[in-house]
Amino acid sequence: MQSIPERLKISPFLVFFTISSMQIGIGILGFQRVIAKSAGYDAWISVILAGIGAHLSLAMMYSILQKANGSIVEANQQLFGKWIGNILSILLVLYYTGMVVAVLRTYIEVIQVWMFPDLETWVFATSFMLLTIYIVSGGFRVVVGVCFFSIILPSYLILTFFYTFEYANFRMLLPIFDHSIFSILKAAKDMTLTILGFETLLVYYPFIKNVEQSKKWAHFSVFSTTIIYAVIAVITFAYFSEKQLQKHIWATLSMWKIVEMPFIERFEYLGIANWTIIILPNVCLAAWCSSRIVKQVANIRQKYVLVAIAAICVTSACLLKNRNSIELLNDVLGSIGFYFLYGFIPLTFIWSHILHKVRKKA
Amino acid sequence: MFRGFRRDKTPNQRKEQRPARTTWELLRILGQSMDFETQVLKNPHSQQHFWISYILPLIDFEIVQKNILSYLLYSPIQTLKDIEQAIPVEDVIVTSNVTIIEEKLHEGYVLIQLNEWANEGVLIKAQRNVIRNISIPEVEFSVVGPKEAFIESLETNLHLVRKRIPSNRLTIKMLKVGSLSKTSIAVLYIEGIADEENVNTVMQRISDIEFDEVIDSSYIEQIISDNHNSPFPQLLDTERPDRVASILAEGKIAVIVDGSPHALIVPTTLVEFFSSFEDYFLNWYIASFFRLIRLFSVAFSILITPIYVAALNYHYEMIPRDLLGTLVTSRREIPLPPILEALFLELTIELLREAGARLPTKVGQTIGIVGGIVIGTASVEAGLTSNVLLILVALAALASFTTPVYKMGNTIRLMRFPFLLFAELWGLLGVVFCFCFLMGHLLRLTSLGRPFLEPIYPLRIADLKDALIRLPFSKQARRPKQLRPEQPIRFSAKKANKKKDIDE
Amino acid sequence: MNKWASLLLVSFLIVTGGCVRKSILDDINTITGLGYDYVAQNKIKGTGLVPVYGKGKISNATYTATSTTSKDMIEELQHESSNPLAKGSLEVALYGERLAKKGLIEIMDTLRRDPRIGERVYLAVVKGTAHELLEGNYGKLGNGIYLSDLIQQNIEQRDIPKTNLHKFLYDYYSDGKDPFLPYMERKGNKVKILGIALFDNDRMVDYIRQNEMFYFKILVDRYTEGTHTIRIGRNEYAAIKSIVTDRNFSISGPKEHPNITVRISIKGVLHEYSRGRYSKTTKQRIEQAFQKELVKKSSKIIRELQSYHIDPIGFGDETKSRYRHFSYKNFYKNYPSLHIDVKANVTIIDSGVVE
Repeated sequence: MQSIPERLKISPFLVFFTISSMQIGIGILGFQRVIAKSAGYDAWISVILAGIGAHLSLAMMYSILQKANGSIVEANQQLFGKWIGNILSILLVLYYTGMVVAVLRTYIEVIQVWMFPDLETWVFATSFMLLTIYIVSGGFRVVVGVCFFSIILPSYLILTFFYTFEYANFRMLLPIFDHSIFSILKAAKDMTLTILGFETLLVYYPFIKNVEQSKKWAHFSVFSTTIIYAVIAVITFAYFSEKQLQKHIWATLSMWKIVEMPFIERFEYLGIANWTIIILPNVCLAAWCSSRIVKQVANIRQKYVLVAIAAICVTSACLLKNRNSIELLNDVLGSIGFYFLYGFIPLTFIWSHILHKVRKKA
Repeated sequence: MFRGFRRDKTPNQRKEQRPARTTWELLRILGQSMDFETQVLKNPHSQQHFWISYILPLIDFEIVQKNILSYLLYSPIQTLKDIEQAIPVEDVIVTSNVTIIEEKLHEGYVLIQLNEWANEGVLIKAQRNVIRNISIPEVEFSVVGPKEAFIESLETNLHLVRKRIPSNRLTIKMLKVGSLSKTSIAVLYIEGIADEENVNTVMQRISDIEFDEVIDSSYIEQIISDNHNSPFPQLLDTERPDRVASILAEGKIAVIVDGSPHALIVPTTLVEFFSSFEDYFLNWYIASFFRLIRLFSVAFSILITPIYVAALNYHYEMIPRDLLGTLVTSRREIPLPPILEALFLELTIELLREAGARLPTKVGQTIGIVGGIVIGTASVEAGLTSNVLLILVALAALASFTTPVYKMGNTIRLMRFPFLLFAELWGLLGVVFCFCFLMGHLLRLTSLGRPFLEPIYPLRIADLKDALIRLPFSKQARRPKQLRPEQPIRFSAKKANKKKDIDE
Repeated sequence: MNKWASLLLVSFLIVTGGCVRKSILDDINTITGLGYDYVAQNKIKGTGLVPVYGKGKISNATYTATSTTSKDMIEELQHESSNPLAKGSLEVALYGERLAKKGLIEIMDTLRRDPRIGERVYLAVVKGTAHELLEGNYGKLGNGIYLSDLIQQNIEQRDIPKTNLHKFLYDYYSDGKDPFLPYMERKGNKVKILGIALFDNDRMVDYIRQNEMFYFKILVDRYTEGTHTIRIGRNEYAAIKSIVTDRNFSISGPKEHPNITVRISIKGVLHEYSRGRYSKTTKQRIEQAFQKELVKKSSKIIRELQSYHIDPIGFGDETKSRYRHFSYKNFYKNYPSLHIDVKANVTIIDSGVVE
């Protein structure tokens, strides 16, 4: 195991940006409809519940990684032996690659529906992956830089939601807890895909300079994204009536249609274009993670792995032809993510805890 | 990283003549050139013959007459040692080393031998210095503040810096670069403030240069910069000695090249290219305001025509309805699609600028006026371009000239074109996509191994005090962290920020 | 070298394959107004309004086509147009009264589904045919801008409650609320607002008359700068401006059959008083007269709405937000017989610069 040179590591506060930029992606464009389906307008509670779940999962990840003193690849090898551990790591590669494809293809879908119906999928996918290769080959620090700017630059978009207040009716959120706990929990599970993303920490953990300090930032990051999601959910619920919301696949984008400024009559086009910056770290960091795992497991140069992964992503993005298949991929990824966060991580956490105790005694 | 023309031994060097082994051989080689002269003189007192050799255009005859010949001929001189003692010139070397002799002859020394075939000789300095007077800075002009600019002489330039930092910690390291030009390069830094690692990197990179003729500091800049393929300059060049003195005090390093009126500043960051030195002469919030204006004008200059093309090509919905009529009426007669219209105008502006820059000043001004007014109005009247775009392009050109550093201004004007092409391809999406490429590129860039986007990324809040805005001097008590200075504190912040009570 | 060559090839492919269809501003006809009229069973006449930009003046062109559904209406209109029609900058959509009475939502589907159409598009019902209204010539800025300015101005300062495509759909899809739209008519070279068309789901049932619009707006929306004149006695009138209103609901009783009280509070500045001196007592008199009129007219409107079994004010939603496990079905079963009370509180803040 080679250790990471100090100049490649990142300051602990940058973990804030890596985590929140990974979490905010395509999910935020249309999660409201999904969660309102089961929990109605109580679904903002589900957002907070999902956030709490994310906090727990994140804390467990830190514990696992700290005990292993390395990335998930080393942790897997230590906990499950070389063979099983490596197989698990390879599964993670598939997961991260799937994430790249899902994010990329969904974004292309948004563009095709909202802006350019005749944009060829392969063209945009190829260009985007070229950009990704360019950025990822600059190394982890550059990828984190993209994460940083993808939070800083589009942060003004939050302000645009104030335009909806003119038409918002917050009364409709009342009465609170009008739905059963079960349906609220179901909505929290549906929220997984949106809140997903912080598990990339498993791979870049060794690149953090002061781990103990970074914990604070990581939790703060999950906390802020949860708040942002909850606020957007509340605003959306006030802006749409319940049945109307079910008609809108991308409720956040639909909300932008009401934004009107003196120099821009319709804001959603600017918003969608701006979303490229928000999508970019999702794709870059996930691509970096999957190529990094392959490098660690199989000892292949990361450059070549990256190009191969990019090629795979472009091909699979082109194979997803219609909305149903995209939605299917998102659903599958969401449930894999759910079992990963709340199944695999806790189990590994317990196993590492036990193993650690046993080894200490021995 | 150090590829290019550094390090590898170029073949033309091997083809060069075998270096002279004896002084006689050297003089014979030099004698092939007509401006090389050897005279034989005889001292009437000691009956001693002298062979005096020099390269004619490099020496000052007055010095030779007054300081050398008068002593050579009128005092009793027997040996070379006698010459050394007799002649009142500060730089007199007795040597038999052929390489030194060759080098010194080319610097304007006179070689005196007692024997035509002798290896040993005395080298006496009789340099002719043709330099112009110190003039006012033209590229980085400022209304207030010092009006001195560097000139083509290294000694004068060093003098200009030295007199501003009368400290024994100001260290100057000299290097010689260029197999033909033998250009002297001075690396300036303040011992104990500048980071040693940075100094070593600069020295290493400069001494690794393999190049025949180094004419100007921009040669050095291009050769030692981290990324040769980037349109962005990665070293800041300046013609102001006051600026150099000020950055040295911050802990940066300056490189001055003999024969170049520009000093190089390393390491540098992107924001530094948008700060004019005049900012420090003005009140801090006025300076901050102008910095923000510059930042805005850069964004405006790059993005406005691409946004015009994007909106007209794809996003008519976004255009406010009151503007719609104006745009449609101004564009209806025009046969060209928006992208060609924009390219046509942008290229016209570039043409005017290039023509203005290449022509003598007086003619250049006329070209600017004629081009701007006549071509602009005529092309609108002829229905080649719309007047809305004409306004936008002219404003964008104006905005690009607010960049204080000339090289950065060029980069910004160039950057408009990829944005235009992407706007033509995918509208606003293309503009943002191109911006992502730019962002990735800037993130990857380094200046002397230090991130180019500092202090924005990696974020150093403390360094933001002198980046996008400039806080007052009392807040500038610490040197920029990015430079890892060995002595981070400039002055006591406590004293500077002490608050007085009423009537004290 | 190989790397550069392949990069060049890829970028060439992207540039050639990446082109998307353009809609260059001066090569399209932007539709600013759309009109729909009922012709016969399953036959709709569509009218598209396109501004023609001239020097300093915008004139209008209209295209008409008849088709069975609204979806291919634009395509039908295309047959008459020299340039492709683009509906991205649509300002108003008008519906003929007969069509409105048959139901609008199917026709509205294109507006709702097409991402190019903004949410701020104004909808309105036209007395007579929308075609006739769009054919007129109103002002220098073109009909589209005229119509949208007309509605906007009346929303901001006069008696039309806030309305647009988004608001209509919000109310339509809401279980406890019914939509409404402005109702207007062509009067020669002008367009006049006649009232507010009331809808049961997407079918127009009646409209609020012009003299009741003030009270209707107070009930469904709020004023920020209104004006109103009230009659206090014979030849005694008071004009009040800068009216700011607010409304509150208090609901009590069982959730299937609650008692609802609407509390209206109004603040305004006395603008004109027709008779004599203005004093503290006259101030009280004006306030009381205003209050009485407000309660009387509002109660009348509410009773009317109850009799039509429609709820543009949103009593359903208001009640829902106050009870758990609320059932809209049971609520609306009892709706016509609900006891809805109106209470008003008028304050005159100021009386202008003179005493």
